[in-house]
Amino acid sequence: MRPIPLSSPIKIFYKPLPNTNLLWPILDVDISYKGKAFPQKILSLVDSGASTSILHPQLATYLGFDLQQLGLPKAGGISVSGNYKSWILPKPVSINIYGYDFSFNFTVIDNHNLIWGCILGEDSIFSVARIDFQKFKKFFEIRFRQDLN
Amino acid sequence: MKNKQQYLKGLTPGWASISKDSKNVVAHAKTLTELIKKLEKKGNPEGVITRVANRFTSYVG
Repeated sequence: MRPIPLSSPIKIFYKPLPNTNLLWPILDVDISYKGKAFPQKILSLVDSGASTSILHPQLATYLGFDLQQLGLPKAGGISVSGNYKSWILPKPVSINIYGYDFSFNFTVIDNHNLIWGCILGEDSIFSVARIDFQKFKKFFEIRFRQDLN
Repeated sequence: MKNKQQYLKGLTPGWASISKDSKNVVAHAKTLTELIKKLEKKGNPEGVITRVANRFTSYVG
């Protein structure tokens, strides 16, 4: 297997989330869909334990996805807190991370109390970058694949 | 960097915009749409949008 060229590492320090004392591997990312974008970056969790990437229902709706039109949310998702119902967005969403542009597919969990606006899982950030978590040093490093952009 | 929690203490669950230097809450609202309207009124200053959850001490995703 040929080695995949990677960018220089970008060091990102873990950050706290509102109302917690915990430190999290978080990225501030630009999210858009068909020209509709948020006025600011969205704080997003980098989650190696998530097989799919997640958008909060309010984010998906703002981007223009009509969740009701997608039908009833489907069962089948599972997390440590139990089963969940979700919609799979029919089109990929544009994401910009540190100047790198990507299109990722997202699942929207039918839970407005979800504490994350966006979760980047194995099918998004982990497919386009090497990520080295160094929690004991309070930072993680990202090296983007150079064969994609 | 100061802990954001200091600046978000007392905020009810919903959505917030934190300044780029993580030192201030730019705006806060119950829904994302309300937050974005507030940001527009402020001229869309730089920052990052985040959820504000109920206080918790641990998380298993």
